[in-house]
Amino acid sequence: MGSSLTLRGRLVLALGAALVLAGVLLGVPDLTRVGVLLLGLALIARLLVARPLSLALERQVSPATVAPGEGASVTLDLHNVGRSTTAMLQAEEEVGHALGDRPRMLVPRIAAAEHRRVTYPIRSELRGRHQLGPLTVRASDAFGLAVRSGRLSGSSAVTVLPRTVRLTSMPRSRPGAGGETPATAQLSLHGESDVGVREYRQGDDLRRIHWPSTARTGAMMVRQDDQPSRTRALVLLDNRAAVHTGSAAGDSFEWAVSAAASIAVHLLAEEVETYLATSDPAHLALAPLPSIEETLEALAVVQQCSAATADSLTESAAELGSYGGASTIAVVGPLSEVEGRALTAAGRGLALVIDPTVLGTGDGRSSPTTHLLIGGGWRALDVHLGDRVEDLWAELVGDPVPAVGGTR
Amino acid sequence: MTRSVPTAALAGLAVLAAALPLRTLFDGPGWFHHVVLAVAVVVVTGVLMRLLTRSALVLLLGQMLALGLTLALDFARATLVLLLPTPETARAAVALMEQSRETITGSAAPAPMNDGVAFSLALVIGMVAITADLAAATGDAPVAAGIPIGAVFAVSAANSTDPLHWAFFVLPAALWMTMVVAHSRAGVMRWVTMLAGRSGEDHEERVRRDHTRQGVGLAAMALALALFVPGVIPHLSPYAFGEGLRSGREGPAPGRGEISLSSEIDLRRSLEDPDPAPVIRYETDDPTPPPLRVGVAEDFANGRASIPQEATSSVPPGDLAALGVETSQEESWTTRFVENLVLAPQLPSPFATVAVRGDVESWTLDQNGVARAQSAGRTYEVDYVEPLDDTEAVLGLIGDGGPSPTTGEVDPQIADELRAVLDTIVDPGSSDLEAAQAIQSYLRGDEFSYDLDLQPGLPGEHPVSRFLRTKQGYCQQFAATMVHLAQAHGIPARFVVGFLPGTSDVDGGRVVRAADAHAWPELYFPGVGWLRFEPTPGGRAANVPGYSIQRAEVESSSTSTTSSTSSPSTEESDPDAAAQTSDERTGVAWARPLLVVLGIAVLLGVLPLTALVLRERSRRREVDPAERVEREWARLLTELADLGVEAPVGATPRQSGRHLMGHPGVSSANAERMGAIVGAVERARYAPPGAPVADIGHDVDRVVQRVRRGRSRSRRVQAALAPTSARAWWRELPGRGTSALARGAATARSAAGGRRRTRSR
Repeated sequence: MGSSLTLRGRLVLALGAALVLAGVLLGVPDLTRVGVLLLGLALIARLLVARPLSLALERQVSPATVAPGEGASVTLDLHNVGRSTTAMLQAEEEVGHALGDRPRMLVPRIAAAEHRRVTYPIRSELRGRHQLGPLTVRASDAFGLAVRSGRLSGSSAVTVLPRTVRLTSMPRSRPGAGGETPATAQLSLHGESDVGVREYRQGDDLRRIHWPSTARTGAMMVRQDDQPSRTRALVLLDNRAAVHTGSAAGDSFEWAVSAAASIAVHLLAEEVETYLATSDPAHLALAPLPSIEETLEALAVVQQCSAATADSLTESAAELGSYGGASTIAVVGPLSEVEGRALTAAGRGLALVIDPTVLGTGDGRSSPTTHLLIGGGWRALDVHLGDRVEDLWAELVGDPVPAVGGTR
Repeated sequence: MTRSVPTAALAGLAVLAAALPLRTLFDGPGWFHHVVLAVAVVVVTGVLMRLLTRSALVLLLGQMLALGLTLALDFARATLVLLLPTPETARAAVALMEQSRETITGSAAPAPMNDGVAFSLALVIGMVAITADLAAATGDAPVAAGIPIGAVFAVSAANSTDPLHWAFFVLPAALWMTMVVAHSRAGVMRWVTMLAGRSGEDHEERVRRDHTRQGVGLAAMALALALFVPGVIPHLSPYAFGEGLRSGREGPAPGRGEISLSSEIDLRRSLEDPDPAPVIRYETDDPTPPPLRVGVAEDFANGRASIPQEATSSVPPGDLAALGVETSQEESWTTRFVENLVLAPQLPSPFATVAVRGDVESWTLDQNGVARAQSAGRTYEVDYVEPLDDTEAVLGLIGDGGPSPTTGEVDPQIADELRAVLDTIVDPGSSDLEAAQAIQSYLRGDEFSYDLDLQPGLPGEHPVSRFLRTKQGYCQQFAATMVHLAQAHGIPARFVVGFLPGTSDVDGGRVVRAADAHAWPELYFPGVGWLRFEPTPGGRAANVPGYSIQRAEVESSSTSTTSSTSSPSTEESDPDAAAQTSDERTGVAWARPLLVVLGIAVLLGVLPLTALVLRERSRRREVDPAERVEREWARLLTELADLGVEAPVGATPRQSGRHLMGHPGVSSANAERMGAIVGAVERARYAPPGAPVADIGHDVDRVVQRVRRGRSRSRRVQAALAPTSARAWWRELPGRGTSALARGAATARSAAGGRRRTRSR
């Protein structure tokens, strides 16, 4: 980025040169004196910033992952790796839009091999992985006549997790939660040794490696037939950009992410083996979610995708279904008839349908997708503006609506 | 709003500091407290008004109102009714302005101080303070405030002949820089949201200190430059530029404008005018032409001669008695003016003019013998008779005559002082002529010195008193003081301005230049009439009339008098001589920086030239192709290293080539050439002796050239000015010098050995 005179510096330089010229031509040394003062100021200032900035930067975010609205602090450690003392520096950190104004810092002179530390707080209500850095550094003279600016490349990020709400009840298919039903049969996978796979952990018997899954996922997977008693659930998140409306915190996609995150966290907390799939074809292969933290981190960075169809969702459901099935909880947008059938064909499940045409209405009219899913034996609810995840969830897992045809 | 308070205060102080050198232009510090009051009112009004508004227009009007009211209270309180100005106030302001205009245009620096001057200064500097305040505090641009501050300073700088004292510059400059630094610091502190530092430190304090320290250092360096550099920069003569413009102008008299001598300031300006172009050119049959008179002052206002432009009386031409010439020389002379640039109505003419002919319109003669004309052309003739100048004749005639003319009264303020001086220099019982001689002798004595620059006076000091105290001045002070002393002694005396007779021209005519302007006294002695005296010592004076010299001195100085009268050109060529010396000095002043520049150029050229010579020498040496490749390879590595692209030490050619190509400064466009070079080096090193090896000199040149183009300018300059090969050569020079013989042998051996080694590898 280099160094240069500021506008003020250039004016002072030009004025000084003009005065020196006038002083010499008119033979007035006092005029020359004023000119030399201005010229000298501008040129010395320019010299002061002529040295390149030799700085190294370390950036630490603590904590690196925060809940929305929760603060974190970023610590910048500026090391002078040059041989001479730096000028006073004005530093500006480039941060993601969601983090608000860029922090601007003033760094006193740093002697050679010395360092200065500055900490600034960040806070965001918006889910996502927000970039911190690079740091733009300006060294200027005290008169503001010349400036050298540089960029200390390198950045880190802070992850703001999706907003989750605490859910209480569980789907009735949970063992012990109610009577045996056809639906629960699909959730309980007693004795089916060839279905469950999980990531390899140290100490696993090598003979248990499940090669097809390993080949597909690229990570070492092992069969998991030793935990047959666990129930399984698949959370589907429809992240097609085409089906969502609104922007920022108020949009339907953020609501869907928040709902999916709340549900997944709830299931994990109940020790259900939970899978997550999105409509993004590039989404990683199905694997049990390892922990609540990692689940939230994954959902923190979920973006809308450009996929036109929900095929990825139906494929994931079918894939898990082929391994013995799982109870599916879908947060989906409008589905085509084919997609809806494919979904219901893969197994039974629950769905929160976000249909933009129904979203804003409050008349209780249900969307075609809801009809389709209910027709396929699912329990499905339309989401309306202002609906709370916990309320819908309670409605979804509570007493079955007679029309759905529960067996109770 | 309040953050602009320090800025406003600093701007006001800077304006005051810039106004300080004005004291060299005026007599006494009587104006300064008025100016301080005006500036303070402007600053305080600005600070208070900025609490209410940010509108520049409202602020400007408010500050101007406040300034006007303050000035009215300060200078014309009597005209105010309930603090409100009346038409009387406006009239008073106009009168004060008029007074200051007259004083400033009519007096040489230092001009006398009066209410008018103080009022104008307070008004002008108050307005400047408003401008500076507008820029610095209202407009948030303290750098721009430097322009009005500098303008005030420039007024003093441009109007004083000598450079101002450095302190006059340092004070406003320091205040202005303080203002800029403080403003810049405030801007940074506003910009910032976080302060960095070490733990346990007051970060803000630390930042402020760093900023201030850097600002002070920068300012000190720039100030030092400003104090030192103008002294070594050659300046043109203050008149050179103007003359250059003037000579380009079409006009009847190229190189010379018309002049007039109606005030002290004209006289001083003319005396300082180095312009060698003639003001007057004349021919005369008088072997010892007298000075040419332009005006006579009988009255002194506060010690300063006032030279009337208009005639107060008229005498018929030829009536010598009416002119106060009771006895004159018998001969009458005629002077023919062939060129005259003195503005009408002034008509330079000798005393006592009898008749004027030629290109003049309605000329008159007043009782002081001053000739005037409504308009005058460039050529005219004057007939005149001279008063007696023969010492014996004067002495014989003095004493009996009619009543003496009455001249001005001595200023009572200095009467006692004059009396005291007269008591010490005039012997009791001496005649009027002896007294006059004593006065002239006193003023021409060693105690007094001729100097165009006057020392500043004490507050309220009478100019004559100052001259008697400082004993420094030019013809104006000498003549005026002699007039005062003579009048105090009861001798009628008057103050005459005009021109010295000038110098002889090659064609027998005479030339009068602006620097020949002169002032002298004329004293009246019954029986003889008005006689010219010459109290001004040195070259810039007319010859000393014999009657004006005390008897004891006559014998010894009469020779010098005659010699100077016979060849006045010798003593009057002094201004020319002075001009010549100053020209020479300018020449020398130009030569020194030229030498410095040449020296720097030589120093800068040493290393590049060394590198060039080394390269050429190695090229010219007859070597086999393999060694040439090695040498070119070495050259490539050195030249690239100079450009900041370094190959690892001890790497094979292939490694080096790869490393160089990986350097960000080397574009991939060089890959092919680099490949060819590396291939050639490898062949030269590893192929059997005698195998054909390509010449890579051209490739090396191209690669270096390409890399150079991509490097930063500073790199390129550094590589060009201080090449490694040349630095190494000079570094090793002392070692080489210690034993030239051994070195020669070693070089031969190592060259041979090196060749063998490269081959055997």
